[in-house]
Amino acid sequence: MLPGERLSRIAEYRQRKMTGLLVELDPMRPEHTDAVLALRNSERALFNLAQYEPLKPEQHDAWYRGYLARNDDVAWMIATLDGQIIGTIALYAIDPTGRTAEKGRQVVDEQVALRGPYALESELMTLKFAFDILEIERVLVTIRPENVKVISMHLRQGFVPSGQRELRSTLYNEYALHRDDFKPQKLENILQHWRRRDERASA
Amino acid sequence: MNEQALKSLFAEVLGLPIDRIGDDLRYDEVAEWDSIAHMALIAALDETFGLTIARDDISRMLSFAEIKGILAQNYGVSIGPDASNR
Repeated sequence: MLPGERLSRIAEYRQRKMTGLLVELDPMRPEHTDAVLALRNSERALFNLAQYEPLKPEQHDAWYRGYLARNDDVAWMIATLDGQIIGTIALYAIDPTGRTAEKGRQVVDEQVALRGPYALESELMTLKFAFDILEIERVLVTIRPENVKVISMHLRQGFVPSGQRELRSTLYNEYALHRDDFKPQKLENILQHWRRRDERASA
Repeated sequence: MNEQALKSLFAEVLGLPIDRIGDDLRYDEVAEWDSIAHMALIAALDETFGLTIARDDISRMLSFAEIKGILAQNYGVSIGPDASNR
């Protein structure tokens, strides 16, 4: 795939909803501002994102204008299949020539995070978008060292430590996943199990 | 199922040595018991015991002891004593 085609796909998927077994990734739009602020201003998100002041609507609006002006970033709202918004996730710093990208801005409502594998599916969908649709070679994530459960989740997905980086005056660990090391089948079996549970429940 | 078998299931899903599994094992104190592991654990319990554990129970099953208690109380699953401790 040529870099220009990769950019075309980024533009296409900034408008296009992706549907999984349990969640949808809905491209972020201005009408999502209230939901984004509620998620980003939780105590846990403020800490993990090293955001020392609650995010204000005008700050998010300014960020969103910048987002629209870039072509290296796809931001989604995570919603359950019945339309309840439960989180955010993004693939950004997409380098169409160097074939690298970063996954992040992931915040999932704490009330639903332990009620189903919604965070897991949103991560796998984002990684498949990177590796299968954009044919990216390497995806990076940065995680605060204190965020041990999110580190564990990424190690389960095949990410390996690749260094440290300072962001917003805070030291983050960096982890990398190479396309050849992305083997989601075992994790997809968990999603299939949960889909069957939901089907039994609604039968 | 006896307690040793339940400990083996936990150890395999969480990727922990079996001697770390016991009543004092708690979700909020173990890095490896992350949300993916929690979902895998519930899937394994569903399949092992032929259950569909309710979502309200899933978010309350946050320690080895609580899981044994909820399985017994809400699903009639009794975990027998650990043979090695008898």
